[in-house]
Amino acid sequence: MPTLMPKIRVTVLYFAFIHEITRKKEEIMELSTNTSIKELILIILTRYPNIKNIKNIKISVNYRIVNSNSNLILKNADEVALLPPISGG
Amino acid sequence: MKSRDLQKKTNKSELNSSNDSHNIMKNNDSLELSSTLSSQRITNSDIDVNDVISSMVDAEGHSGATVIFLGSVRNFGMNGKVKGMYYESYVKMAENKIKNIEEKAMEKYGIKKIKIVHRIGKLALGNNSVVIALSTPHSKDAFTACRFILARIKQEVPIWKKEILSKGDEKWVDGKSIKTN
Repeated sequence: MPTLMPKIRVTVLYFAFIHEITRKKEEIMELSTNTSIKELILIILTRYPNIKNIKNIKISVNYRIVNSNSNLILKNADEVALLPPISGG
Repeated sequence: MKSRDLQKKTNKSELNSSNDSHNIMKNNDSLELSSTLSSQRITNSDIDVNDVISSMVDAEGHSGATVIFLGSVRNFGMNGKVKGMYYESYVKMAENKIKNIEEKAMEKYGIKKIKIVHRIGKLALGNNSVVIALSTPHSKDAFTACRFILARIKQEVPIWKKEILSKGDEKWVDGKSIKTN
């Protein structure tokens, strides 16, 4: 009997121009344990390739900006956000 | 559309925005704050400027200068003539970032009192989108600190605005990449 791969669930948030591409502001993604932020971004870009057209997107994990190429391993219940260039004020 | 009509729509939109997954403000998002800091930095309600000014009153006289900056919705923008503006925020992160900016500015410029509020949701022309109020012992520091804070908000706080154009369409403003420290 095959063993089931353990999974984690992370919330991914999309803002401004990005949620107009994804057509949703947030979603819960089920990932294998040991998924890195870099791997999650690849999954997102495969699902929504037009996000590649937006320059200078920053990524946050639990409200802290991280490098999108980071090998940081995601944990269950992490909150990841894709942050396009800002325009407050 | 007349501004009064837009205001009606604005109010309706604010009611609807309570269901907005990004702009919703949950009770458990409130932060532990020192007594000199504001308790709510992102709001989807009209900013009460008189209340902000009142909060600057210093009965003990530690400050000799208070500066207030009001940012408001202009009738022209990056994409042409504008009739309103929609602001969206990553509220929890924005609250944290503004708190951090307040703390840095207080230390750097000797600020005695400070209040920063940024509005989100749908705004009509002339509505205040951001208010920065602070008091310091001397006026030079108050003006400099206010400019410093506004620049940091524009560079670091996750807020996005969409221009509601007179010709009918809506366009996100192409802003600046979030600056990390």
